[in-house]
Amino acid sequence: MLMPRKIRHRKVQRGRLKGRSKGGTEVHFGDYGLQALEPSWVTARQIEAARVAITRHVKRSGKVWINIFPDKPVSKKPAETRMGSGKGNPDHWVAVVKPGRVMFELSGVPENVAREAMRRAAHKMPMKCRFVKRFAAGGE
Amino acid sequence: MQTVLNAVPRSHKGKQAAKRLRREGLIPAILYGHKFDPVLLALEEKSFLAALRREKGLHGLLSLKVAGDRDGHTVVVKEVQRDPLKDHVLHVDLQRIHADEELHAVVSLHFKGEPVGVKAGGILQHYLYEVNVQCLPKDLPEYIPVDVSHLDLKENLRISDLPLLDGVKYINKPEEIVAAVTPKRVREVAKVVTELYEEEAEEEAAAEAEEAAGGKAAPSPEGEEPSRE
Repeated sequence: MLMPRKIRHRKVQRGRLKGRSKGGTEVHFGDYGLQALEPSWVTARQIEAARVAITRHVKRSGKVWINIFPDKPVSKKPAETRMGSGKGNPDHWVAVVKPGRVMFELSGVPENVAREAMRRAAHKMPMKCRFVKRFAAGGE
Repeated sequence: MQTVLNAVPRSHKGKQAAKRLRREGLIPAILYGHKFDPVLLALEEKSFLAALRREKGLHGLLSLKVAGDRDGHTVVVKEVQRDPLKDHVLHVDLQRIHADEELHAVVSLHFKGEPVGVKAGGILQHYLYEVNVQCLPKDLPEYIPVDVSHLDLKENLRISDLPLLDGVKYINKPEEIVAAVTPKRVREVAKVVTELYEEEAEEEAAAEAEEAAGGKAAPSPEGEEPSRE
C-alpha cells in the first residue's frame, strides 16, 4: 500500500474539505481517467483496491497512473478506551481528494475496456466518480 | 473553408459580467495579436462548439467575425478554460494572425498503423499527442500523420523521426519521445511468479507422495500441537 517514506509530523489536524480541486483536473498522462465528483478522504487501502481492480480487468495490458498519494496520517484510539488522554495513535494514511480531481489514468486499452475498468475502480472509491477522456482541444 | 466563429464585442469585464454572459449563452473571450490592441469579446457558444466538433478540433485557422466590424480576422485558439466538473467552456483566448508572419501553433498527431512490437506483445505508449510548430499560416497543417507500424519492442519514436513538412518547423526538442513500445513487464513478473508457484506445488506433491508411500511414519504438525480449551 502507498504511504510516505519519511514524515515531518506523526499526527496532523483533520482540516476541511472545502471547494474544488485546485489542479489535476485533466487527463494528462493516459487516454482515460476516473474523476472524483465529491470531496472525500481516500485511504491507501481503497487506492490499492481500485488499482488491483483496474489492473485485473485490463489483464495487465494497458498502463495505469495513480495521481493521488495518501500522505495524511489518520489517528485512531484503541477500542474500548475512555475519551481523553490525548490524541490516538496513527492508524492509516489517506489522500485528500476534492471534486474534479482525476485520480486514476489509463492508456493502451480500447475505450470500452477502460470504461469497465474505471467502473470497477469507482466501486472501490468512497465518493461518486465519473469516467473522463483526454481533452485534446476537440477533434479526434 | 475555414470555420467561422461569431462574436460580439463586450465592454464589461470581471466575474459577475462573465457569469451574466454565460447565462445568455455566450462565452467570454479575448482577441490579441502582434501590433493589435486586445479586444474583449463574447463568442457565440453554438459556433464555438461547432468548431470544437470539427475533425481537427480547435487546431488550425479559424475565421472570426465580430459584430459591427466589417473585416473579419483570421485567428488561432491559444487557450480554452473549461469547468472541470461541468465541462462548460469558461473563457477562450484567440490570437489574431498575419498572413506574412510566422506563428507558433499546436498541431495534433494522428497515429496510424499497429506497431510490430504490439503484435509481439508490447504496449504502445503515447508521450505526446500534440506538437508545437512554427510556420506561416498558409503552411499550418491540420494534423500530422505519424506512422508507428515499424516500431518494435523497446523502440522509440522521437520528434526528429516525425515527417518533415514544407515550411513547418518543430519547436519541441528533437530528442523528445513521441511514442514508444514497451514490453508488458507486469505480465513477465506474473509469469515468473506463477512458474515459481508451480515448481513449489510440484515439490510439495512429490513430498506428499513420498510420505504416502512411507505410511504414517511422521505425524502431522497439527497433531503435535497441544489442544487448547
